[in-house]
Amino acid sequence: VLFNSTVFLIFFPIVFILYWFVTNGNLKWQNILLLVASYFFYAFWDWRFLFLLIFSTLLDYFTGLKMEQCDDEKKRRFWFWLSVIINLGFLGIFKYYNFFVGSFAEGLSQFGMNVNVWTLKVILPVGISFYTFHGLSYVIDIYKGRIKAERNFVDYSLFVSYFPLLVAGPIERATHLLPQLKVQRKFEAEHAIKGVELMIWGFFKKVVIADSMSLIVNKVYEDPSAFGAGSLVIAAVAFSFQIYCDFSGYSDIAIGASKILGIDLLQNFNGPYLSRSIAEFWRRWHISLSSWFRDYLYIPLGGSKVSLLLSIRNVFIIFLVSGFWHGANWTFIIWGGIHAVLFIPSFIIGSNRKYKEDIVHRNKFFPSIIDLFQIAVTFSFVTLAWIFFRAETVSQAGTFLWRIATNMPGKKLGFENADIIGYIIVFVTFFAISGYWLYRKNHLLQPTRTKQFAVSFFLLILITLFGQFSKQSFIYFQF
Amino acid sequence: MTKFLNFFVLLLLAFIVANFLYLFILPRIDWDFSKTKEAHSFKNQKLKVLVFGNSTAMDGVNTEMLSDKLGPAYNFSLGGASLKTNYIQLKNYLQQNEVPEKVLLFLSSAHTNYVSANDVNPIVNYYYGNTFHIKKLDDIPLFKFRWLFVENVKKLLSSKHRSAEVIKGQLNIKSIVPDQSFYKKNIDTCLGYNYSGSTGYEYLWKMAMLCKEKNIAVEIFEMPCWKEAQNNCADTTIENTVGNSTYHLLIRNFNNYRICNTLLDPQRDWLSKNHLNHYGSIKLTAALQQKLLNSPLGQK
Repeated sequence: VLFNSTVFLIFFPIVFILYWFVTNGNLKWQNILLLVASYFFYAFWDWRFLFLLIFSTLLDYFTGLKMEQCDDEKKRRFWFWLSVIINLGFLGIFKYYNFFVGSFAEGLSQFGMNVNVWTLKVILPVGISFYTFHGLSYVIDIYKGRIKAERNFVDYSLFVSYFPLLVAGPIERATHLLPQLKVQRKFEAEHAIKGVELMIWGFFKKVVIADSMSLIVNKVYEDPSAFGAGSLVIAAVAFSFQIYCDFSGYSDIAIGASKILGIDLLQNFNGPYLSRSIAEFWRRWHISLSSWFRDYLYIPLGGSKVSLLLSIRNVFIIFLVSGFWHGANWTFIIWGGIHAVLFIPSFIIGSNRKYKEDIVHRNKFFPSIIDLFQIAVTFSFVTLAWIFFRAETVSQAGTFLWRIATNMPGKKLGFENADIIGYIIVFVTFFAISGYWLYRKNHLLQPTRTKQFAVSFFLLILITLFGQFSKQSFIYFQF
Repeated sequence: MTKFLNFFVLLLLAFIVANFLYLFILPRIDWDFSKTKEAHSFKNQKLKVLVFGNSTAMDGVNTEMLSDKLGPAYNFSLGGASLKTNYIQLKNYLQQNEVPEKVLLFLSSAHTNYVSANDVNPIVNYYYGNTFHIKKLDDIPLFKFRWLFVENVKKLLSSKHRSAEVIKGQLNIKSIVPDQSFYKKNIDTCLGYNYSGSTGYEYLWKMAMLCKEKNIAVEIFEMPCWKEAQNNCADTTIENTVGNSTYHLLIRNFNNYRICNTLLDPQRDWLSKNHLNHYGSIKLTAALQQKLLNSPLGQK
């Protein structure tokens, strides 16, 4: 089920009614209901892959128990690696097999050896990267002794498959979500109203901003060599907004829906385009993934507690792996590499931990001029890197950048007056409501019921007037 | 829970009220809405000339001028109207009013999929369907008539849009946007219009046959476009066989770049891409009158 589909508009109220009114607050039945709803949510897309999800759940559930029951370190290690290898094996087969054999064959062809490789003709199971990471973090935490294995199979399955986060995160931790699934949930109106607000805001970002931007972006990326530098710059900036609004929109809907069900999910975005450095950007963008890589890859590799050279290697590894996690294409690896290169200087001079505060301009309505300048520079670099992320091939990204750098003439993106008026209305709203959330967080604005109502109402009207309802999937579904 | 449900129900109610308010306001401020309302209410009218088409004809065919020379005329054209829409409008008019002498149909095949589209304009659907149903989410007024929101915002922003008026169905706007586009490289090669390959073709013939049945002369024209969409095509004759009879229709091409060149001033006569303004509509209508007066009987 897509969040931006009519099915979800029917599905979610049914779950809400059953969850709060029919189960009578019984925790066991609430969890069973959420699990069934989650499996329906997933199977509605493709029921065959539901078996893969259930298999992955069973694997981690049993290996978790086995690890805990074993006194022998060798056996514990066996169960641990069994789970890690099978989990990553599935991910590798479905997501990376074709890439590896394709790259291998291409490499051989450089030496004059042409080989025909066998490729998989199967679609990537939606959410595999997300639920695999849920499972992995659970198994690693048990192995490291940070948590106890979960004995209740329903609760554990729900942790892996909880529908708001199943297909595109946030990537939850057992330490955060599992305890919430084990305590009685109480309906809190304030919490639920905030959830509705967040959901509407998420829908606005997705169907109004992201999907409108995708019309510009797709047109240009279809053939960048035909467009002039100006249009390419517009498309690059449009993609920055598209990907942010698409993914953070999804996260907001997920977090909002979950709030209505009385469960808090991890924050996934925190105004990333207000970052003043690349390091700060990564503390604000896809937070649940960045922190996952930090905790389960960077720190185990030694993090910054090793020599400078090894630390730099570690930084490169997590950025490259993070790029590769997004997709089996060299473009994603280069995207990760660019971020690593942009990050390393601040890492070497030790300024990467600067700007760790949650809010860019605490107690102030606007950032300072210096902050604004740094924000603009960081946004430009991030936008530049997104070109590789969006391009189909490395050479397409190269063409894109070359045409911008040499100010090449070419086709212009033609905008009708009506389009321009529409874009002005939705972007003014986007920035105004982003400010509203920021000021709320900054305690410069109190969220009264009237304000919450007005904002939600206004956004609903704009979604109806300007939303693109062509069933466009969320970008992060493919990862 | 009560607090939450109150919030949610109020939000839903406010949304419903906003939709009804939109539907209440539109016929009072929107050109397309008000003229469709007017045209739909025609009873026992004795119009001589009926004009049909989409927004290009709504802006570009000066019905006041036509009325002076050819007798009372009305421009039924609407933004985004398909041939099916025009057919519904014509059929409805003929059921409640006296038979006109001429029906002028304006196509704009070079710039939109006008001839291909078979959707009925939602405003026509609203008035001519007589009932208003919300069977699916797409029927919500704010969604169904959403393009009109920006169209009416234009009036807030531009005094030229505010001062525009609908005269005998024509939207008369004096705003000027020069045509700065360029001819296609292959402008001299006529690729022709693919009339028979379009889904709206059926309604082109339905309109023609309806006119034949009522003995109304029908004249069909291609509207002029901006330079980038102009061509070098001559007038086209299309044919259709019904039973043992074969019928022919002549489509006159005002989108030929030589005609546009002599007729229109690219710097002054356009309102927006492919849409003529007041000045352009006067020039086009003068040329049109000339053609019509030269063949007073038209095609029957």
